Amino acid sequence: MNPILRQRHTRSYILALALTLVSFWLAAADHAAHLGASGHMIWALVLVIAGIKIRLVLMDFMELRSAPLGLRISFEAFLGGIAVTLILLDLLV
Amino acid sequence: MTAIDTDVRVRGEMGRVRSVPAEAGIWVFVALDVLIFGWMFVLYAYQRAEHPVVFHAASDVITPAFGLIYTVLLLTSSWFIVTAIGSLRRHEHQVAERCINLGIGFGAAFAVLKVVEYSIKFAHGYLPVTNQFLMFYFVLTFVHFLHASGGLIALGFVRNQIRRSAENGQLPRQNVQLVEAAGIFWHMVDLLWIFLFALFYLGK
Repeated sequence: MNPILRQRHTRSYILALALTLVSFWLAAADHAAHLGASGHMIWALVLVIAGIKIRLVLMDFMELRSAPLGLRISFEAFLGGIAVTLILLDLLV
Repeated sequence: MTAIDTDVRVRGEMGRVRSVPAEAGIWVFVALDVLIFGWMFVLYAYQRAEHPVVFHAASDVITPAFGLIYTVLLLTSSWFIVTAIGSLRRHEHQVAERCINLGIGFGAAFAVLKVVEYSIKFAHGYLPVTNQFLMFYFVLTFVHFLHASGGLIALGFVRNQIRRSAENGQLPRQNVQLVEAAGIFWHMVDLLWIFLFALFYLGK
């Protein structure tokens, strides 16, 4: 196999693509609703999947995986904070 | 490319070696930019939660398939950019040039399709002043579009440096850092889009 295809960023790209298709299938194509998920659950699911994809971009495209831990944790914490805030706003407001 | 950092990144032997990708300045810029976008996302989510019926009805004008195509285009573009810069580090200039061209191509396709989508909405009378949902949608996606446009210009610089490296060998250290910083900026465009896709195309 081409060495480029074996690299971590390629695996992350394929995973991010797959998660994109899954979230589209669940949310935009309404399959989650047909499976009984509420609007709140779909919103939370979409944001969690987005958060996972963004973490893949941060770690393996932007190379934060090998960055100083303070820098890496700052971005991961901010990402988690935004995702949680957006989910809580939907639930509590 | 640069001394120890790039050498260990090329060999993949990071081990205990941790270095700031590119240079600190681009990370300050990225941090400020995602802070601003993050705040706008929170504002949008708050308004959406306050007026769920209005926002849900207003969001029917959004076509999720557009969002899916944009996401695939930008993720693929980012992959090509990572591969291009990685190839440049290993002095694999032909691969680097092919990948940067494809990365720019996919990014340009995103921008062109965005203009097409805007045109369709305007033709149907959907404007930023039509309702609050569309105001958020147009403002956030347009600001992102401006970032993407600037990112394409930065990728043009990367392409230029790849060609220069192929002709002259070693790039000056500052140019190396600028190439890597341009890559990081482009990936930031990608990650911001992932949230925009979720908020406006999926989470409506």
